[in-house]
Amino acid sequence: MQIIFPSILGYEVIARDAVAALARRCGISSERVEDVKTALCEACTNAIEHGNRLDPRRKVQVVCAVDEQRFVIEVRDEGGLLPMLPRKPIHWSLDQRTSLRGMGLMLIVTLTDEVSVVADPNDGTRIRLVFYRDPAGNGASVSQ
Amino acid sequence: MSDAEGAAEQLIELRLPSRLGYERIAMDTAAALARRMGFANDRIDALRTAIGEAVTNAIEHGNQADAAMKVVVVLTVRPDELIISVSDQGRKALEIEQTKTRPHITDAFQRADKGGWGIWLMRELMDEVEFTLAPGGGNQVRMVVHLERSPVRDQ
Amino acid sequence: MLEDELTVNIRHRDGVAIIDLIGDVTTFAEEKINGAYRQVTARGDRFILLNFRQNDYINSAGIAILIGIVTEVNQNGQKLAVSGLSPHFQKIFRMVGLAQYAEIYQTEEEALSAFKRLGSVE
Repeated sequence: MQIIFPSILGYEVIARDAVAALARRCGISSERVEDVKTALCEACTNAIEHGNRLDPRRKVQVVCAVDEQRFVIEVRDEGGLLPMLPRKPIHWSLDQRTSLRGMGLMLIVTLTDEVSVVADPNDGTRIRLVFYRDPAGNGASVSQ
Repeated sequence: MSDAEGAAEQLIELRLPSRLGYERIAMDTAAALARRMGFANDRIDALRTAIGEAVTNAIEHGNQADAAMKVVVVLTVRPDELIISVSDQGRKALEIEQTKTRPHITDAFQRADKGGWGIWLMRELMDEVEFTLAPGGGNQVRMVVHLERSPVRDQ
Repeated sequence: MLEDELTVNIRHRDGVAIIDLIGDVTTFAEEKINGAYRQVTARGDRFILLNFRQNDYINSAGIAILIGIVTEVNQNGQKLAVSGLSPHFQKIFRMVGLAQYAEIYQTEEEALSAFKRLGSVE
């Protein structure tokens, strides 16, 4: 499934609802669906603001793939600032001076089982969020 | 939804595999969008049913349930209306006669196949419904719902 | 994935066979609904209530299944009613003409008292 929308803040919520509907209908637990929603919104907001620099003519594309083990979401923008993902484990601290964007990326890393970023000068940036359907099991390799 | 950019319309595109069940994703997405646009609940329910029928037709008929074939749903957001276009890859063309029938339940009692209500429901529930060819040669249906207008005149 | 989301229960109250339809009524529901109808008919039930719950998705394929039930109910001389439908699906049942063959009630209780007037309790 794919969903493509303009780089206008607010539209990430529509993508979130579409992906949440898919996740729910695939039998993913409601608690995990909340993680998916939050991480996806952060990734989309990042793509709208930093990747596409709020230019509504530029599109954000969200691609979902589901199999027995994993729920995978890729968020693609049309290029711009490459996000620098923090590494796990994340240490949240109040006095740490983190930008809003940094905060969003920390949230993404915290909530996903795997996350990776690919930058392509022709293709923009792609951030890939992986959620294990059975968080306890599955020793799939972590790509980062 | 604030649209500070002032553009007359914005497009959201959804591409779905041709597998039954995915029409529900289109229904949920369109409903979420319509709710944010300020549509009344009864209009949103009507929209859910119409888009469900359109996508189911595209999956089952147009794409013959071949999961590799895509159904494309384009939601066009305008200040005063929502336009939903659903297109398939046209493995099987829709006969224009099929788009105009008004089924009757008493006829259905006599038939083995009691279906055939989908397109009629779409026409009854939406403000405008138009069947055309998709740019890629498949079937396409374009449906319009206006904001702040009463729905079906059936009561 | 995206599997069917309908649960069907059969109960009996006051001489009425109540078939609870919980979830989506689409093409995937055919076996379950027809199976439940066959089961209550085999018992000799004459009064049947389709009690809808949490149905945010009844589509034209689901409507065709219900028209199939109405066809058999008419042939078998049974009485059919429906309850629990949302206003939207009540409207659709009227549009399609199903409401002429299966009286629509808001609740199970209302349907049961209507059946009682028709002689469901002997």
